[in-house]
Amino acid sequence: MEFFYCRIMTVMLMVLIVCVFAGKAYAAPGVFAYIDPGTGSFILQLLIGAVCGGLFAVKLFWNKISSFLKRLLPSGRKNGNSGK
Amino acid sequence: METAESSQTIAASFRDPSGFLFRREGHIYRQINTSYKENYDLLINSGLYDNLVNAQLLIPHTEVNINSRLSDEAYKIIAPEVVPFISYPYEWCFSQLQDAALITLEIQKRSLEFGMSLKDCSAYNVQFRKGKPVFIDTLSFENYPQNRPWVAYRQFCQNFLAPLALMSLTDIRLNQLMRIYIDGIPLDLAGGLLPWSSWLKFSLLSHIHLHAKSQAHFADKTVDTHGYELSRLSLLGLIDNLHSAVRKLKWKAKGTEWCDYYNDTNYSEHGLEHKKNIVSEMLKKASPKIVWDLGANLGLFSRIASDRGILTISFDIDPAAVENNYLESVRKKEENILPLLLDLTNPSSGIGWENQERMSLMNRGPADTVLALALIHHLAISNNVSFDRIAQFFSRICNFLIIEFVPKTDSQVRRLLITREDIFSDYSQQAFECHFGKYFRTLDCVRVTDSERFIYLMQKG
Repeated sequence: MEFFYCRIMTVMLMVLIVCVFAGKAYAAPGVFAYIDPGTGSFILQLLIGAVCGGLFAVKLFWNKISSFLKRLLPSGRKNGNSGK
Repeated sequence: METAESSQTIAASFRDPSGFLFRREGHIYRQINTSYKENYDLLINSGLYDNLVNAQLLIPHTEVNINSRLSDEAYKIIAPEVVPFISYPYEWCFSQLQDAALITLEIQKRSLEFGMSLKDCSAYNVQFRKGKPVFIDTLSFENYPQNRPWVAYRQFCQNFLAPLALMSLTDIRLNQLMRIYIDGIPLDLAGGLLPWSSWLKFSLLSHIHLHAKSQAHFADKTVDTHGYELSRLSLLGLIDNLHSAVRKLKWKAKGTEWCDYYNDTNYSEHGLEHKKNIVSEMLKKASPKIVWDLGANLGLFSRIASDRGILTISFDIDPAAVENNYLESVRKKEENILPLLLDLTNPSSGIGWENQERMSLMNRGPADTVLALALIHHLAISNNVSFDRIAQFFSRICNFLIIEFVPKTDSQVRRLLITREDIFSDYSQQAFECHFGKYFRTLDCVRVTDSERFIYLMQKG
């Protein structure tokens, strides 16, 4: 599920690049980035942070569910065995 | 009593307003300025310092009461545990840089749990001690105000993610860009060098490509960044994503010139054993505390020294050999061997401000003993360096020299001469002894069984 979510976010980010930074190719733009690369990093971090935060929440949720299921499964077997 | 005049500041820390390193009588101290008082006290009192030191992630220190304050701003003086050999990211193999990146992220994660954050994410803040990476800058921690973005995010991407991605996906040798760009590889440059497939990976797309575009887009714009927040969950997500991105990058050491060296030598089994015994006996005579093994390959002979508890820096020019050497040291949990990348014909120079921020190889010596086994023919014949220059160089970097002379009749030398004209009329054992005799006294000389090679133990002077 996380993998699927990750792929969707990748595609969305690529679309975002085209929309927001259209026309700024690698060959030309870096000049100002050496003067102040901080602002772009700051803004980008907010954007990516929000995406990663969402991914992280999914991951935490998924981990909780899977550990819950793992806990259930062996205890279910134990119960099954004890029931024999 | 010691005075400030007897102390000398260390150039590596001059940028930091929180304090600086200085050396006095061979000991290294760090002055903590009053401007850093609150953060330092929080580091200690919050329990973060103990947590990181106990996990061997941060270099331990002791507070000292000495009268050597070099400025009025001193709050405290600390004596950090000394790292016996300083190495730099451009001398590390892929897995060393990857391990350094992972402990940096682990430290940031733990810092957030204690209400602090790393304000500085330079790869130079990590050193290798006892076979493991350790964070050495005690003054890189600051109070973390809730919901503030990570100030060292860009530095992490430039110092770790970009070089690792380039080494993994483009070319392993691109870590040498770190020599040119002291604060990490510019992201627009990294993005331009990465293959198109990196655009399809979420982490590289966002932390490198989009990051570079964003830097370029906002570079000439005035943006008031006050008031913007990044939730704690988002910050943890960002760190988790960086962690996963770094962990997923792989590089397999194979197919390079020296990777299979030990399967391609002209020693017999007896000869190789004899050579090991000779080196072992000579090391016993020299009884060094630190050894530099130049041209160490996978570290076969380095381990003769390191297994005796001698700190051994195992240099090689081949990234694959250094990678395999490091992975073996990790697998065996070896504490006394440090594999590093080095082109001896162009060793690391002093870089940074006034060429002093990062030391040259020569400035990090001399070593007690240098091992130069099966090396002389590569320097003299492949690189046209005269015996006299080689001897002079070795005399500047060591006190004892264990060096192997490989004659022209040796199959490895003949192989070198296949593709080049033999202009090396002075390449003989007699000339070798004559030139090295100007700088060294020969203490011992033994012929290796089943070969025409000789190993010398020499002492400077």
